[in-house]
Amino acid sequence: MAFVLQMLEMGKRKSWFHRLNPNAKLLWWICLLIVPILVTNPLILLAMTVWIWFMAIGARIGKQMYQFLIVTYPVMIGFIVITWPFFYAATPEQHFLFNWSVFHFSLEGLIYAVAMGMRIVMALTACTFFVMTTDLMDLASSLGEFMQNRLRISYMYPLMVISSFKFLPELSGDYITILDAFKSRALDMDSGSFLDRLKKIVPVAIPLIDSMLRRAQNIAIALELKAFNTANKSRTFYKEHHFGASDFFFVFTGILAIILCVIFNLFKLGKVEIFL
Amino acid sequence: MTEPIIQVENLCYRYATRNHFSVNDVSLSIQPGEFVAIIGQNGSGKTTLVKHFNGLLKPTSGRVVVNGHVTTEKSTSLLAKFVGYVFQNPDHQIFAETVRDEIAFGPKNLGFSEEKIKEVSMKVMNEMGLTGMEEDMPFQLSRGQRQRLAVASVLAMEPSILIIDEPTTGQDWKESMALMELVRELNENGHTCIVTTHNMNLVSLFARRVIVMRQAKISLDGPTQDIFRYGNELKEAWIKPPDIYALAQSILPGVKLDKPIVPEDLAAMLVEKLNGRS
Repeated sequence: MAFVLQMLEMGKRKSWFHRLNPNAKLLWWICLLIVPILVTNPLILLAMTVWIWFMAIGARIGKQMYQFLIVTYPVMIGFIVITWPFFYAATPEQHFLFNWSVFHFSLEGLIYAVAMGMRIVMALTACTFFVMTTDLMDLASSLGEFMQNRLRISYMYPLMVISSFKFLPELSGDYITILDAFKSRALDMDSGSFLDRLKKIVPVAIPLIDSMLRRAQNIAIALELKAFNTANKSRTFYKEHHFGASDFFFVFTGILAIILCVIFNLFKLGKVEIFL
Repeated sequence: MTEPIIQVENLCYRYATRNHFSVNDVSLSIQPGEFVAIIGQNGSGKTTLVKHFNGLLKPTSGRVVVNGHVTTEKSTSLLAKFVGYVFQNPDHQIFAETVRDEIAFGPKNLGFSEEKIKEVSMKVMNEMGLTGMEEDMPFQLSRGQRQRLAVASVLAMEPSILIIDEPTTGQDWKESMALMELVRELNENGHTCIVTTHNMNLVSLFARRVIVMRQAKISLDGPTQDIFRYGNELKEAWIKPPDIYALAQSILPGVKLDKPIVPEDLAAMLVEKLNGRS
C-alpha cells in the first residue's frame, strides 16, 4: 500500500517528462501498449524497454522504477516463462529438452515464452513510466477538460473519475490507519488459514466502508454548498492544459514506435517466428 | 530508580514515501506510572514516535524496548498485551454490532477466557461510563461516547501502558475534561499514560512530564511546570504555553514551581506575594 502511495507521489515530481500534458502521456502510453501486440520479436521489445528505461533515468525516477519493477518483473514474467513451454503446441520437429506425457519443454517453446515474457516486460515498463511521470489528479483534470470542451460531455462524468482518483490515496491512508488500529487490538492479520485471514478482514472492512460513505457524503455536501452544476454552463479550469510542441513530439515518439513495428512486420522481422 | 517501561535509543525513522527522517536520533526513557504528554506542531514526529511504542512502526535505525521486549522482535498483536493504543478517530476502530462485542474484541484476540472477558468488560464499561449501553449499537453513540468506547475497548486488554493519540479532537471542553480525568484515574491506578495533544491547557492540568518535539527531534523534556517556562524554545516549536504560565511568569518572575500550576495555586501565590508586600 505504501508503495502505491509512493508511486502516486512520483507523478508530482518536476522533470521535462512530468511537465508534459497528461493527455500526451496517455496517448504515448496507448501507443506503447499497441507495440507488444504488433510485434513479438524479443529483441525489438527489449530495445523499446531499454528506450523507456533511458527516459525514466531522464525523468529522475529510475531508482523508484527499479525498486518497483525488480519485484514485479519476476512475478509477472516468471509464471509465463515457466509454464508457457509446457503448453506450447508440440510438433515432432521441435528440439525437445523435456518431453513426457502432456508436458513438453522444447527450445522453440522456451524462445516463445521469452518473447511472451518480453511483451509483458515492455508493457509493464511503459505502464510504470506513465504512472510515475503523471500526476493522476492532473490527468483526470485534463481529461475532464478535454471531454467537456471537445466532446461536449458534462463535467459531472469526469468529476466521478477525478473524485475516484482523489479518493484513492485518502482511502489507502485510511486503510493503513484502520489496519493499525486493529493490530493495536491484538488482531494478527498474518496468522491462521486462508479462511481465518478472510474472516479477519471483516472488522477492518466495516470502518473502511463507513469512512468511504462519510467522505462521499461530505463531498456531496461540499459540492452543493459551492453550487456545483447549477449554472448549467461549461466550467472553467484552474489549470488549463494546452498541447505544446513538446507534447506533440512526445506523442510522435509513441506513433513512431508503432510505425517502426509495422515496418518490421512488413520485412517479416517483427515476429518471434524468425528465431524458430 | 526502577527499570524504564519504555526505552528509546537513538531512534530514527523514515517513511518510504518521504526523503527526510520523521523521527531523527531520539532517545528517551519512560518510567512505570508516568503521565507523559508529547507535544509539538503537526509533522513534528509525535505520532511517528508513539507508533514505535507498540511496534506499529519499526525503527529505520536505533532501538525501542517496551517492557523488556525489543519491538523489532515482536509483532504489534503481541505487544498489545502491554501497550494499549487509542487512535485519534474512534470510528477507525469501531465495527461490532454492540458495545459489548466491541469491548470484547481485543480480549478475545489475546485469548482471555469467557469469564475474564465478562469481568473486564463490566469493569471498563463502569470506568468509562458506558454501563447500561451494553446492547447499544456503537455507530449510534455520540462522538464523546464513541471516544470513551474506543478507550474502553483498549483498556479491556489490560495494558500497563496506555497511549492516547489526540484524545480531545472533536470534543468539547466538558467531554475533553471528562476523558482526561479518566486518564488521570487510570494513571493513579498504575497505568503509564502517554498522550499526544495540541491542547496545552489540558497538558498543564494533567500531565506531569512534557516532551516537546520539533523537526523530528526532542527539543525539551521535563516536568510540566518547568517546560512551560521555556518561552523562546516553545515559540520556536510553534507552541503557545497556557496563559496561566505566561501570567505567573509576568507577575512572579523567577518563582520556582514544584508542580504544574492550577488557577487556585496562582491565586494563592499572588495572595502570598501581596501579603509579603504589606
